[in-house]
Amino acid sequence: MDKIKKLLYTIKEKNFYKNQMVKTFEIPPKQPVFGENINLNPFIKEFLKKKGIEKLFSHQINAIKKLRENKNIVISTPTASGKTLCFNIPVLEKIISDKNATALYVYPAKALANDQLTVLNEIKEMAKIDFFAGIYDGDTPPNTKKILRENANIILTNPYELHRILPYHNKWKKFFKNLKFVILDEAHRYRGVFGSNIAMLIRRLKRLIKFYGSSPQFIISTASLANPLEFSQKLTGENFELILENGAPSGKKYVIFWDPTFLPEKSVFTQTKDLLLTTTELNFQTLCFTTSRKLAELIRMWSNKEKKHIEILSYRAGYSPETRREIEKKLKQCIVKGIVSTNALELGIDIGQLDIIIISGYPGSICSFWQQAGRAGRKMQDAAIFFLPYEDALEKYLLNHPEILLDMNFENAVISIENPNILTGHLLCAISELPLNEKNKISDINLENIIETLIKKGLITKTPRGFIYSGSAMPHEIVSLDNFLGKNIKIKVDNKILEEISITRAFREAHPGAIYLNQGETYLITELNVEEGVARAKKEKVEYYTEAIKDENVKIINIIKTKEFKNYKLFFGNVSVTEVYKSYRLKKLGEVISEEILNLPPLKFSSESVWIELNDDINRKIKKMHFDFDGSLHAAEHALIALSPIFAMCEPNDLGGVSYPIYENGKSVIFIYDAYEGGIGISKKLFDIFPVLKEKTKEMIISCKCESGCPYCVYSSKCGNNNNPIDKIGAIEVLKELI
Amino acid sequence: MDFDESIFKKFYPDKIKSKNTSLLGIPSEIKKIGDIEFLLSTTILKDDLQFPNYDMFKNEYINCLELIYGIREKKSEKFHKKGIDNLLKAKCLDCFKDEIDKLLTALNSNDIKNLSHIIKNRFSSSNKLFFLLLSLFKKQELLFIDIETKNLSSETGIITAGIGFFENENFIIKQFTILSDAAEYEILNEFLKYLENKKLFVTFNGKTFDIPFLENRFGYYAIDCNDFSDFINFDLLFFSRSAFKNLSPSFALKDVEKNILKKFRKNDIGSEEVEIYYSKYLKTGNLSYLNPIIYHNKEDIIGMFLILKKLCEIWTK
Repeated sequence: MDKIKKLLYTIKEKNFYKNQMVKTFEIPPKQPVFGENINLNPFIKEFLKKKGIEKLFSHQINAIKKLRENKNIVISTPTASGKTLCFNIPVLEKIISDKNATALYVYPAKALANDQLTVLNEIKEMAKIDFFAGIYDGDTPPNTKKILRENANIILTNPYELHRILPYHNKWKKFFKNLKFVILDEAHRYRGVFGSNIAMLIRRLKRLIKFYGSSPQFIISTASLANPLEFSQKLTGENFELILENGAPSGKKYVIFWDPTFLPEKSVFTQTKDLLLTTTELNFQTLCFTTSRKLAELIRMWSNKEKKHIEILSYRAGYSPETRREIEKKLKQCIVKGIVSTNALELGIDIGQLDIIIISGYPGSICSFWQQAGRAGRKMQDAAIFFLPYEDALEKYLLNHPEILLDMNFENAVISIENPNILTGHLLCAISELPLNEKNKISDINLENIIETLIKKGLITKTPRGFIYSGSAMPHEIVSLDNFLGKNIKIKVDNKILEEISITRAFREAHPGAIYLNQGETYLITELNVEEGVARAKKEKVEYYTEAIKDENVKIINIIKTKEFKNYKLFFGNVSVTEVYKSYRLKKLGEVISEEILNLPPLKFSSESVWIELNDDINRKIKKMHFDFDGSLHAAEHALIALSPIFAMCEPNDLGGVSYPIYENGKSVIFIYDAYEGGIGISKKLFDIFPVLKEKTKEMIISCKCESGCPYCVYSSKCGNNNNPIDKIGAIEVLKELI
Repeated sequence: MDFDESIFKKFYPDKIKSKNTSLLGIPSEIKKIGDIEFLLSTTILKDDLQFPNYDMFKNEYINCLELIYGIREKKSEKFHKKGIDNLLKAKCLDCFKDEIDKLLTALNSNDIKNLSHIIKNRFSSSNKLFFLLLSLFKKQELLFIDIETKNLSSETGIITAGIGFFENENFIIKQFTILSDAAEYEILNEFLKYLENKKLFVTFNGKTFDIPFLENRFGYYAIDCNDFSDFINFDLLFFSRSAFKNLSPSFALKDVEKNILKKFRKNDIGSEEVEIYYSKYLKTGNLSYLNPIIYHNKEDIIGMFLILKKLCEIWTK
C-alpha cells in the first residue's frame, strides 16, 4: 500500500476524525514529455549536463523555439514545471552571441528576484558563461546602481523601482539601447488595481524603450489561468504565443476535501493543527498554509505546545535570505518536519517540495490554491493535499463542487486599462518622462479626454516638442502602484502614515470605530476626516472584528454593451453609485456582539457595472408560485456576488450589488458593480461569462441543504437590509427563468 | 468622467508664504524663437580674481605623500619624521618607485583629466590639492552654473538658467529665464552654446543638484549634448566646508557669504519661493514678478565668484 493511503488510514483512526474526508481525488502520476532535440549553445549544453538534465521538457523546447522565431511568449504551466529555464536559456544564448545584449527581469517581490539571481549565478558558475547580472532595487547602493546600468547584462528589479527610475531613463540609455528581452515572472500577481497600474507602467516602459530604438521580446510567466493570452495582451499591449502544455513529470497526488463541520466541537483551526501533528509525527514533511499571520502563529504555537518534540516553524513575508536558507537547510536535513505559513510562501520562493500540503482556508483564488498545492510532491514521490475550507458561501461551494478547484484553468485574471483615474496618473508620469507627441505616444490607449482635462488644469502644456509636463511636483511621487488617483485616505497612527487606501475602501474598513487590519496587527480607527483625507488610528489588541452595513443606490450613466436573451437582457456600462454606510457590527467568531450607528456622508462614485433586466412575465410567474419576488431577487443578487470571485479572480469586497424589483425604468433589475471608482474590469468580465455564473449560482443555492437561506448560500453578512427580504427558493426560480 | 478637484491639487506647489520683496528691474531683453519667448539678462563685473599659479600646485603635489596608495596621514607623518617629505625623496624606497614614476609623469604631462583622476582617487572633492588644479586652467575655460527650478527635490523644470564666464578683463553673468513652460527647451539650447571651449564647471552644490538637474532636462527633450561627466566640477560647497571649517555654523551659500565674505543680500527671496513668483507671473503676465528670481540667481553667481576668489586667496598663501 502506498505511503499516502497508509497515512489516510491512520488519520481515519484518530479521535478527531468524524468522516471529514468527504471527497478524495487521485491525480495519477505524469510521465515527462520531452521536446525534440534542438541545437543548443555549447555553454548551455555544458550547464545542463552538469545539472544532470539530459533532455528538456516539451514546453521548454517550445518556448525556446518560439523565442528564436522572434515571438513574444506567455508560459502558463503550473508551479515547479521548470519555467525559468524557458527564458534563462534564450536570454543567455543571446548574451553569449552578443555581449552587449541586455535583459530586464521584473519580479513582484524582492525575495523572488533574489532567488532568480542565485539561479543565474549558479548557471554562470557551472557553465562558465561570461555575463553580469544584478539586482536593482531600493536596497542597491548608488554606486552599484551606476555599475549595473552601465555594465550589467541582466538586471532584476520590481515594479516599484521601475516606476521610480523611468524619469531618469537617460541614465539607462546604454541598457535600453541593447535591450533584447523583458521578462515578467509571476505575472498573475498583476491583477486588480495593482495589475491595472502595472499595465500602464509597462506601456510607459515600452514607450521609453522604443525611444531608444529597441523592440525587445516579452516573456510572461504566469500560473494557470483561464485567459492567459487576453491577460498578457492587456498587461503589455503586445501579442503573444501561448505555451500551455506542461511536459514536466509529477508523482501521484491525492487531493482531499475536508469538511470541518462534521466535527462541530473543534474549530477548523484546531482540526488543522491535529492534521499537521498527525502527518509530521509520521515523518511526512508538511507545509501548512493559513490565511493570516496570526493564524499561522497560533497553529504553530498549539502544535509546539502539544508535541514539543516535533519541530514545526512558522514562515511569513519579510524574512531575510539568510533566515530562509536556514529554514531550507533544516527542511532538507529533515530537522524541521513542518512549516505553517501565510500565502507569502506561495510566491515561487524556493524552499523545495514537500510531502503534504495542508490548505487551511481558501487562499482567495484558484490560482493561489494551486500555487500552494503545487508544492506537494518530492521527486516523483506520492504526495497529498488537504483542503480545509472555512465557513462561507464561496468556500462551501468549492467543497461541494470540487470540479471547479480541480480545473486549474478556471479563473480569469482581470485588469482595466480604461479606468480614467488610473490612466491619468500614469499619463502625467509618462509626459514628465518624455514629451508626448506623435512619435512618443502610448499607442493602444485612448487618452484624448484626459489630455483635454490636463490642459485645462494647466498640468500639461502644448509646445512644438509636443505636450510637456507643467506641474511642480513629480507625478511619480504622487502616483502609487497600489492605488489610483482619486480621493484617497491616509491612515495615520501617531501622525505616521500606516497605509493609504481608496475612499471606497476607507468607508468600508476605516470608518470611526472600525477595527483595521495591517500586517497582522489590529488598529482601532478613532476618526475619519474625509475633507482632510485622513483616518486616525491607534494600535489596539482586540478580540472582535467589525463589519460595516450599507445601503446602495445605482443610476445608469450609459450602456456600453448589451446582449439579449430569451427571458432577460444583459448590460454592461457606466453607473453612478451612492453608498450610505449607516451602521457597523462588532463580531466575534462570526457572532454579532453589538451594532453601532455611523454618521458618514453618502459616498458617491462612478464605476462600471453589469446588470440584468428581467422580462416582465418572470415577475408574474414568481408571484404566482407564491414566492416573495422582492426576496427572490435580493437572494439571487447575494448569491451571484458570492460566487463571482471564482470567475473573475477578485475578492468579495471588490464588488457591490443592488436588486430593484422595480427600477426607475419600470423593469426588475439586478446590478453588480465594481466597488472602485472608475471600475477595474471585474464586472466587464462578468458580462462575458454571465450565463455560466448564473448556472453555477443556481446550482449552488439548490445544493445548499438549509431550509430558507443561510450564509452559505444567499445570506450576505454585509447586507444593508439585514438580509430582509430573502427568499431562497424563489431565487432558484428566478435564476431558472433566466434563459 | 468627472474628476474630483482635489485630486489635481497634489501636482501643484505647496502653498508657502512668500516674502514681499522689491520687484525693481534688472536689465533684461526679451528673446523670441518662433512664438516662444524668454528673457536674457546680462551683468558685467570687473574680473579681479587671481588664479593660483602653477608652481603652487606643483609644490603641493610633490609634497603630497598621500598620493601614494597605502599612505595616509599617519604613515605620511612617520615618513616626514624620517626626513622623507616629498615624492622625489620617497623614490628611494623601492616599493613606491614605480608608482611615483607614474605620478611624476602625470604631473609633467599637464594632463588635467589624468591629474584630476589621480587626485580624486585619493582625496575627496573638498581637497586643497584638487582645488589647486585650477592653476592648470585658462580663465576662459571656466563656466559658473546656477539654476532656479520649479521644485527643489525633483526634476520638473528649470525657470532660470544662470551662467558666469570670463571674457577679456570681465566676469560676465548671463541669465536665461523662461516666459512660458515651452521656453525651457529654448533656454537649454542657449545654455549649450556657452559650453563650447569650456572645461571646468564652478557650482555651489551643483554636484548633487544643478548638474544632474540639467542632465535630466537635456535628456527629457532629447537634446544632444556633451557628456557632463567630461567636465571637471568645482563644487564650492565642498571646498567651503573644508577651507572655512569652524568659521561658519552652516554652509548654505547665503551663510557662507554672510559669515566668511561679510556680504549681505538685500530683499532676497529663497529658492523655494522661485516657483511662486513664476506662477504669479504666469497668472498676471506681469514681468516684474520674475525680477526677484533673476536677482536671486544673479546674487548666487556673484556669491560663487567671490567665494572662488576667497579660496584662491587663502589657499595660495
